Amino acid sequence: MKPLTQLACAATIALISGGGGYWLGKAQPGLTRAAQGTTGAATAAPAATARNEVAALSISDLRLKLDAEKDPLARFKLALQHLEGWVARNPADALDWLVSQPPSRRRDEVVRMALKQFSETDARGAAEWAMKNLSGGDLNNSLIAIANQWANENGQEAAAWFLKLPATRERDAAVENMFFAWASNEPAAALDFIGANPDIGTLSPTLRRAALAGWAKSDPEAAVTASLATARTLNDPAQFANTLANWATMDLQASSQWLLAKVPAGDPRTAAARELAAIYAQQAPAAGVTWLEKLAAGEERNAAASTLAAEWARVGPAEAAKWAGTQNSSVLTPEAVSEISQNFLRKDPAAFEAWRAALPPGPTKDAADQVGAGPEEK
Amino acid sequence: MKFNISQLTIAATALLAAVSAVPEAKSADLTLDGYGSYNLGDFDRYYPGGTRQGGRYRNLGADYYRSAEIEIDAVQNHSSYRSGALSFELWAMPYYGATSGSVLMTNSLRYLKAGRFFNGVYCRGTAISLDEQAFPELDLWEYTSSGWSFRDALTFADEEWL
Repeated sequence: MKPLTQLACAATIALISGGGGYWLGKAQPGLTRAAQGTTGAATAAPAATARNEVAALSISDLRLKLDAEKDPLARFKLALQHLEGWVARNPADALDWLVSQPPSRRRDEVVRMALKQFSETDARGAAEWAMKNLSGGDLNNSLIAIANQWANENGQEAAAWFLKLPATRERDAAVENMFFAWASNEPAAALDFIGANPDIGTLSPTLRRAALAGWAKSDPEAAVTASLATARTLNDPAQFANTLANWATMDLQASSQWLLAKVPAGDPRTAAARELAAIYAQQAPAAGVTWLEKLAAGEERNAAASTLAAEWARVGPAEAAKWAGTQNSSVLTPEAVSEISQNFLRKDPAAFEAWRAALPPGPTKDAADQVGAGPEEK
Repeated sequence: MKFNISQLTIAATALLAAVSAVPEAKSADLTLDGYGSYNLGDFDRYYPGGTRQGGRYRNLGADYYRSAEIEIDAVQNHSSYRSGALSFELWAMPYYGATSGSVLMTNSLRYLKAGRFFNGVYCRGTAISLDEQAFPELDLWEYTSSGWSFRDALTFADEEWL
């Protein structure tokens, strides 16, 4: 490359970087999370200044100037100089112009910042723009962030808008997250919306579960009480179990005591006991073993014991196997014994073989005998 | 604790081989088995162009990222036929038992032959730093003739700052 060409390249790179830095530097405090909540006042002045720049130069004038500028680098620099004010006044126009520019890391960075600014003032517009211009994981995560923000401002409006969109994986993810966020603040409104909109269709159980989980975050006892009533009406014990499990992730002892004290034996209690057993297995398996004794003998206790043992085997296969070996052979399901055996075999084949050999004849040994290492893919 | 990006840089980046996604006509019975874990770096940094991912997504867009490791004892194909290409992922779920959430990191795994398993699956890369409380989840997806399909998940019962 000739020196003159190199110089020109260096100058254009400096021009772009400088222009980008100018706008990004002003936007950065709002995006630097360590500074959030402490620097709000500091960001107000430069933003107002930038908006005044656009006020002095109207958007239509800016577009005319941009169209007249034939050098793409100079055009981008000119846009960056006015971008914050442009986004504040007409975010969709600014974003559309940005994505029409040649792709670059700098452009993508500016787009993301502009979209964030857009969603803070107009969640619907930001969501519409994201739907039109983003895809894949980027769309999934952006829509969730916008939906959560919108839910905190106006859950009703956000729900109505999202549910009118064609069903896609990304739309459904945003809606589920949105109902969780909405119900964390306004559980009755979120649940009423689901009840009053039968056109939600097959998404109803998921959204109800999300809303009840959101409610459990702010008022767990009220949430599980309401969830139990709904689960009985809709014959959905798994929904109640999930609401209780969300309380259990915050307070395992209180939630398990509530279950035993307030819920009579039956499908909802059995389903919830299984969920709690899985959480005990992760957080405190020994306490889980003690808790099992408080459950009703028979299906309820056996189902919880099988879940506890199978999940416990993920983190402590030797301990889970030792405990399983002491249980009456009718307590654990063959599937649970198989899970325990596979985990134990994978972790310590010699100890597993010794444990299996020592099991007394019966269903537990029969299930353990079915387990082999199988072929590993190298 | 979060830091200003101008103060810190992140050290680790993943060089994950881009495995071409091989579709299978049938969906395989695939499971995440045994002990699973994740480990997230302490420092995050803004990546304007996102970071390179593998499996289901090549890139998750501009965001804060930090180094991340995810592992699982085994990924098993219980079917009598070969699986499609696999994606082993880290997610942030809004609540325990949620069916969807934010995708933080994706990694490619090659297909599994019938009845085979991968032992000790470990992936290192960069994950989005959400700066929110959420439930971490390890997810397994398979590429089939109708696109990527969810296969299994391991949800952690402790809400964490992700």
